Amino acid sequence: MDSAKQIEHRAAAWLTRRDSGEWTETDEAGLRAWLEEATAHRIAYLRLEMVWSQSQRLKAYAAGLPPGSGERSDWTIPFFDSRQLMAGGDREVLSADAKDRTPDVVEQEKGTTRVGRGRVRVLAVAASVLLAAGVSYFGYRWYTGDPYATQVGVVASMSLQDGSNITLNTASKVRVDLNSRERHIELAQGEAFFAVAKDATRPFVVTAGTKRIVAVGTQFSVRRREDDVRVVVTEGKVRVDGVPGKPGEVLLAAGAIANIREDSVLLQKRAIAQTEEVLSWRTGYLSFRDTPLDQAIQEFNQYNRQKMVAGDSAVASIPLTGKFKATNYDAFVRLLEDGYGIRAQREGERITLSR
Amino acid sequence: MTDSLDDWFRREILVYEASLTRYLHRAWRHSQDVADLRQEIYVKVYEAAATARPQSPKSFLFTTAQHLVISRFRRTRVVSIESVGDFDDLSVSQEELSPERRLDARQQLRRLAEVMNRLPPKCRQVIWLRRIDELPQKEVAERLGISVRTVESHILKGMRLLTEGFLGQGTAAALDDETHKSDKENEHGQR
Repeated sequence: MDSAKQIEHRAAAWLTRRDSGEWTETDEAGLRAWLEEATAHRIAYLRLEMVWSQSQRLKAYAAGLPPGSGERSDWTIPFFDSRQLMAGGDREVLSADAKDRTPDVVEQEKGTTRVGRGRVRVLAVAASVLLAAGVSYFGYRWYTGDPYATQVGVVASMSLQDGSNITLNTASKVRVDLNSRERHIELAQGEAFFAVAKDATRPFVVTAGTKRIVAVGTQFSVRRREDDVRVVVTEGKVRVDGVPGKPGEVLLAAGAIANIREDSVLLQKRAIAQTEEVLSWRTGYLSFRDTPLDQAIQEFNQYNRQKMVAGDSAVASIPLTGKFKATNYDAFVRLLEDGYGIRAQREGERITLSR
Repeated sequence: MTDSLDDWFRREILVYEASLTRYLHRAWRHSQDVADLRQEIYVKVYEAAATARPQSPKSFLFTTAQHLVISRFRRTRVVSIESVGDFDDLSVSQEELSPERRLDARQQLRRLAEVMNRLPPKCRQVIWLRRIDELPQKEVAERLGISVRTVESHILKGMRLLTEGFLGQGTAAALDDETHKSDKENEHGQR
């Protein structure tokens, strides 16, 4: 057997070639032959490919930095410890900004044009990341109403200046506006979980279309699909305004799951542990408990570019129980094939499930 | 079928690379052999799993490692007077077999970023433009005013260093070592 170093070098050469964008059929055949030659070759390639494909996820860290990272001459990825984030500095920034109202407005206009040009920044995985480029710099940006978004398959969380924390689910988008009267988050798309820092003088308001969800110090999530809004409360109380048929307000306590549609509202009371399960996406997992397959695949499809479709109603109603990694699409499909005798037919990005 | 074996290997074996590497460094004093030993262990595990997947991949991995180290040990140390301590080191410790604290997606990403930050500067710049800004290799070369070949060599180096740093994080020292070397190589080797 050749030395591990030599083999790794050759594996890396293949992968680099493949990355060049000039990959031909001859190359593909050559690589296949090389991989077949020895198990050690295949393993060296697997190792490198695993990490190389993951390295693209670093994009999340570069969020908010211009391409080529012009703002950072040393090309290192900026990140802070969440502990550092909690340290004193933030408060000062906050008050400094409150004094400088005018620049905020200017910045807001700039922010809007930037979005107009199609540059929505992709949210950093830890918000701390954003702050690292200079606390004050991003400090006042938080007031501008800039959108923060996650791509398909990415779950990301960030801390706000007030100490609150937002976790964004896949393909979601929020606008953040912290001002002296209220902390306003607009959920433009998708789902977000909020851990709200107590501040009785400034309510924490999430708007999702026409619905307003108000909290003082609590933990809850809001999901928006078109005009359907789902609110899940895991701690404390929240108030929902704009609920159909309820001119006043609806109070939701911990354990509540509210599905609000244009003309109806469905309230469920669950054990707190169960509401946490509904929110397991925060750790990258999807939990199902006797969930019909078509609902489960709908959840999965949110995290992946490939889309599963239930071929018929018998398949659609198969109940599923378990906890799955949201982005591990292949494993899920394989489980359906092996465990449920389901046939998965692939056509491009569409996978049809049938028996 | 081979595809799913690859997936299995990534998911159930490669995730323990850090523990395995630490074990090998402890049990086998000649650190220059560790990469080769590791390769041999991986090959054995992969080929065994092609026939039948072990029930407990982690303990299978470490049992394989231990057997290999012991046989090597016997082969190289013909003289039979060994200190007891040496043999103790060959055993797989409780720590290695205890359930791994699997990193969640965010922690993984963070570790990846830390490894990225330890790459040699030129190499990091190339990887940044290629992976984060998603420029094709050609454009990376134009942006930095270097040849496509040099870009290739940075990518090749970068993916090896990222892999070693990310999977075998216990071997940070080795990485830093390589990092230094490769920076020098690149200074001379380019343009």
